[in-house]
Amino acid sequence: MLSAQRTDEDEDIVESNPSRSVRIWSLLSAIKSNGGALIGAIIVGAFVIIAIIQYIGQLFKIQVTPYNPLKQDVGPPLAAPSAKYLMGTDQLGRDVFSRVLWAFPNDLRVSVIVIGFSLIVGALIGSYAAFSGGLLDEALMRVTDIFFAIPALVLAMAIGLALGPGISNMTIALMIIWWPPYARLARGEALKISHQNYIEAAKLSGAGKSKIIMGHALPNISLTLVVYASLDIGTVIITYAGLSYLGLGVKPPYPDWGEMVSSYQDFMLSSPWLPLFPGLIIALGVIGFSMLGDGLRETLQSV
Amino acid sequence: MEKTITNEKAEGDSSSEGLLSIKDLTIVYESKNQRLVALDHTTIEIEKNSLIAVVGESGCGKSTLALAIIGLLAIPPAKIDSGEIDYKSVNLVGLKEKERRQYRGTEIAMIFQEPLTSLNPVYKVGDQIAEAIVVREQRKGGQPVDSDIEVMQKTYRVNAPDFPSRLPRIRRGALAKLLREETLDALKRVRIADPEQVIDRYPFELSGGMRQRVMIAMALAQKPALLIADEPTTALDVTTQAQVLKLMKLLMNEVNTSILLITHDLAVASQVADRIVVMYAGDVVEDAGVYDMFTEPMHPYSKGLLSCIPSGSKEKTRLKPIPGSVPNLAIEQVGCKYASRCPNVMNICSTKRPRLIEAKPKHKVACFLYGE
Amino acid sequence: MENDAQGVDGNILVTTHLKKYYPIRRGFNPFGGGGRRFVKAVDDVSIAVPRGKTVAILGESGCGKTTLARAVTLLSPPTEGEIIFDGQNITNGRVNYKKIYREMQMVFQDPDSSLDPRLKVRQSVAEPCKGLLGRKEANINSMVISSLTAVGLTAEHADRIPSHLSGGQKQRVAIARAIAPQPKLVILDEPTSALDASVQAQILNLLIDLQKNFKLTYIIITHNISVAEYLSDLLVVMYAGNVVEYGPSAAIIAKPRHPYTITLISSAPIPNPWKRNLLNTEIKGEVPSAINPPSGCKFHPRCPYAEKICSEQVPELREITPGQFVSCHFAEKTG
Repeated sequence: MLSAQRTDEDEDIVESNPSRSVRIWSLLSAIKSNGGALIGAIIVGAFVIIAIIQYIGQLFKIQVTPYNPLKQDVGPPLAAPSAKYLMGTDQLGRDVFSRVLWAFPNDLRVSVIVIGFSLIVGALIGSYAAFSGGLLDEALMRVTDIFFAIPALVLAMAIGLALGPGISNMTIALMIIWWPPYARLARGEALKISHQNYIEAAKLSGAGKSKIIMGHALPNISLTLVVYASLDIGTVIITYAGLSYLGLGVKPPYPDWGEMVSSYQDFMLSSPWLPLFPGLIIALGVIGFSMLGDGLRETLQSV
Repeated sequence: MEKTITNEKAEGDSSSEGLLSIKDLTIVYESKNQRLVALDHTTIEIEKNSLIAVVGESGCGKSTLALAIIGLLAIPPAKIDSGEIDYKSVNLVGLKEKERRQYRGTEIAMIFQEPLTSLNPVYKVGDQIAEAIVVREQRKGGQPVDSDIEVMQKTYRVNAPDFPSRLPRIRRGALAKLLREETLDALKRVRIADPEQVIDRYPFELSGGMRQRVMIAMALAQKPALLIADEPTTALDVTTQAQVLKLMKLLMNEVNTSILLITHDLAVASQVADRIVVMYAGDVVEDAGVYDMFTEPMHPYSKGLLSCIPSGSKEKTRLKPIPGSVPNLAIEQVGCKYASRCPNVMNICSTKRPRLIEAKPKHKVACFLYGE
Repeated sequence: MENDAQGVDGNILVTTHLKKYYPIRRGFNPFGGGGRRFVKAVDDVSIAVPRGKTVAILGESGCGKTTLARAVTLLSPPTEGEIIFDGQNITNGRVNYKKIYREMQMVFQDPDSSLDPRLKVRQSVAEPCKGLLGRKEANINSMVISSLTAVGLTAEHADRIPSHLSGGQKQRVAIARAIAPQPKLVILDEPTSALDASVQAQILNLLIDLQKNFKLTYIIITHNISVAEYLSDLLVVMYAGNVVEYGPSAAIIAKPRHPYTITLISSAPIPNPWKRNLLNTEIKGEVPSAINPPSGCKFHPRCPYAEKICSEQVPELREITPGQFVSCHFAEKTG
């Protein structure tokens, strides 16, 4: 009979070295406790809900806005904001509020796709580089550097010229140059854990490189990457808004925030609400995501 | 070579006076949801020219004790609930930071476990020692001690010709030369073989043992009356550890310092200490001269610790580990904290807390086995 | 050295002239002289580990003991030399890792990094069983539970994550994981260095029990002389990448012959205030550079017995008393 000591340590466990990988529910409670993150989460939540509603509406051709955003002359042109027209009307008599609502899915769709792609591609490239070392590591990182060096706007404009403007083409353009920082970050984090003993133990369990990356590396670096991504979404929003401002985004008459700022800016002095509201919405979106991301990052660091 | 270290003070020389007295010190860590008692009415006396070893496992409060004495506790979350630390008839508890600085470094110095992080990596080792010397001179002259940054900057400017002399009795011209000589002396005192070389090295260029010697040189440059060493050799190799411990014993006599050695290693304590204080979960459970402690350990925890140390081979002896584990200090404990693990536990142990009593001359223990 | 090189009956592991060199990549230097430079972490080590015994590899930092352990487990395959494990040469050509790791496992030093923080205990312990044995679900579950029970944990612990375990418990999980696939040889790298004294004692007792019950062979890497003395039957003392002394633990610790071993043993703190040998030991110098080690016997710059031959010729490991081998030209004098 084995006389191994039964440890009664359990009643007295003081949490030793709480790991950085916090579980989902504790993440949510962390958001609640951090004021900034809470505000950010509310804003983001609102944006996401509105975007989903609008997207479904557009998909099934149901109008979910107060007025038809494309219809001209629903009211007097250049009317100031009022109870009837919450954000006023533009020079063609269209309801600005409806247009702003309609454009919600655009920016968010682009962000989600670009960030999602960058997360996946970056995480894979970065962790494979970290766990391969040597020549493969160098090669992958140099490829990353090459993509890193491409300026976003220039590439987008080139693609706009070659393939034509539009939300899909811009999404592709952004996907091409957005992932390198994720690869770098993933590689750094993966390198950190590659020296941990549980990775060695996994090797002693017969795991090959892929199994180690999928089973151990990715789960443990995912939190850092996700926090970085949450801060990054705001940047995609504003980049796409910039492209749309330059005319490379959704084509008129369909509304798009950046494009609205561009076409309304001539009315800045006479009807300032026109460029103001779409601009504010862009800013609010970026702020919301940034506050959420910042709050998450603070929580991670305090653990 | 070196003469062998004498053990004169070992028997608790009755002629040694008190240097620092910790009386009934209670320190808690408070956060949103919990209150953790790190030190619970701790009472320890430190005499002049003696080496006291505070021995205990993790969580016993020994590091908190060290930081409290030198005034580096982070308050909040720490809070000194009660008690005093009497040093030369001044209570160090509750001193303002400015007053603290008069003692920290000059009278009470500290060295830490990890020498690499204790030394500033971007300054040469010699400059860091010189900094300590400059601070000492400022304090001697009764000048208000500058904040750390200013002192370091001054040290660098020392070598500049236009250094404004704020140090009494050290004239501008000879200042740099004097500082360098004193620094070399400090390095020689810690038995570094080639001080001329080491003085211009950066910490990362030195080995762990050398860095720890530099730390000791810095601490002693101010000729403190008390040196607190918090696990100074835990991160070192066995042979280096032996050399550093030897050095500390030697310097004690040369510089007239007392040493408070914090360690988890009872064997290390037995090799260098004059007196051993055993702590458990924030309490002092036993306090005796080193020979007494090993002739007749009184507290069941001390006995348990001794029987945990592997000696001999597995064939002959079986280790008797202490069952259970340290209690959660965030939960208020009723009665003796060791009761749940004690082989001699009695009824009274779970209801009342034992006080530290002098069961034998110069041998204190906190246990109901020896009376109340 | 044991003559039983094939070791089918006698030795479970034999290394022959094992070397692990790490190349140093210097910047491009067209004027650089000389050949490539190496960190010679393990520099010609030949040991034999008898079945069912415990061999302790004792040494200070930089001596190469951890590198040796990683070389033997092929986590960092050796640069040169042979390893014969369970009668098979595993340094030759194609290696079936899974087959090797079914019989050889390792427990690491730091309990905090030994377990994947995102996995439950049962998942961590099941990992080697799933990866090496490929049994069915039900089987693995029972292997996990019996492994946990053997180290003194319960099924309740199986569903915890590492952050809800104490240091001692984490180390028990690491041991449970190592013995779950039922290996013959377990290599333990400083298994108790990160633990408190009382927890260390518990783990040491556990290791002794497990060895008896599962007929394990242990290689224990440690810098702690009392742990080495307590646990091991045979002791290998390493210095700067070489074995300097080898033989029965009790004999070596009672009467060390190599000058380094003598200093090492006398520097070890013993819980005895009347025997303060620690304060009377003297050693000069520092551990040598692994890139540019001293010529001949690497200990000669620090050795009180050194003479001219020591800087010229590397001493052979020779038998000074029955079973005790020393690598020193003047081992007779140190006795």
